[in-house]
Amino acid sequence: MNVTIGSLPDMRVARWNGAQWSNLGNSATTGAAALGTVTQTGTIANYGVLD
Amino acid sequence: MNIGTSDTNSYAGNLVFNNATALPITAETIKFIGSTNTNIDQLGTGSVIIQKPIVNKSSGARVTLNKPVRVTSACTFVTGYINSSSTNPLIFLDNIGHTGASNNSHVVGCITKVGNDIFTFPVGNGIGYHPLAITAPAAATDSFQACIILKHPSDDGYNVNSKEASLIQVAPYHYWTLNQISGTNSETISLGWSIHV
Repeated sequence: MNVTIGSLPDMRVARWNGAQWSNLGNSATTGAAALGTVTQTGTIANYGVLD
Repeated sequence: MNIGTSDTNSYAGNLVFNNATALPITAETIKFIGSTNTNIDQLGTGSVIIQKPIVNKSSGARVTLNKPVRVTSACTFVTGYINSSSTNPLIFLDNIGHTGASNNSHVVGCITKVGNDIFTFPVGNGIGYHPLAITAPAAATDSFQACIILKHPSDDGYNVNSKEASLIQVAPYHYWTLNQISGTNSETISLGWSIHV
């Protein structure tokens, strides 16, 4: 299945905090809709489940 | 046991060891080739160490790690994939990296990284490259393990509908886990997407 990213500025790093997905933000993106990366804002010390 | 010294050794079949002590494969390069799925196994108790693995399998074939495999020089991804798990990961030691990861070649599963370098975990789903990257940890002894989990997050209890309002949608195709094995650090995380999900 193919999925195209609609908007790079709308991409976010999310982390499961035990109860819900928390928004870790978007400080930068690379690439394009077909292949790219998004970087969270700031840092985290607890990792776990990400999406 | 030494396999080669400076040449490339190519394997189209399974690579199975049976050593009771650490296995210092001194070959410059171990290339995994062929169009069929194969595995790396160790029947003994020794560590499996490969200095320079090259993943160069055709037809989307995979090499499955049945034991942890340590990379001590560099790993090159060309075509094909490595299947790994949290108990049998691909391990990059301090100052060791990789090249060539793409939609066509990466690790499907788990990778452990030791060291204090910026590192991109070259993981994906077997058709698309979905890396996870961390900033540099503080100490050379720090280590992290990252996995890509090819399941809907909700199926594992991470309900995609339970989210902060600022998140438009949580992607349902897969998710990642990142755990610090050694050390205590604060890192900045990057995640990768591909059109192939």
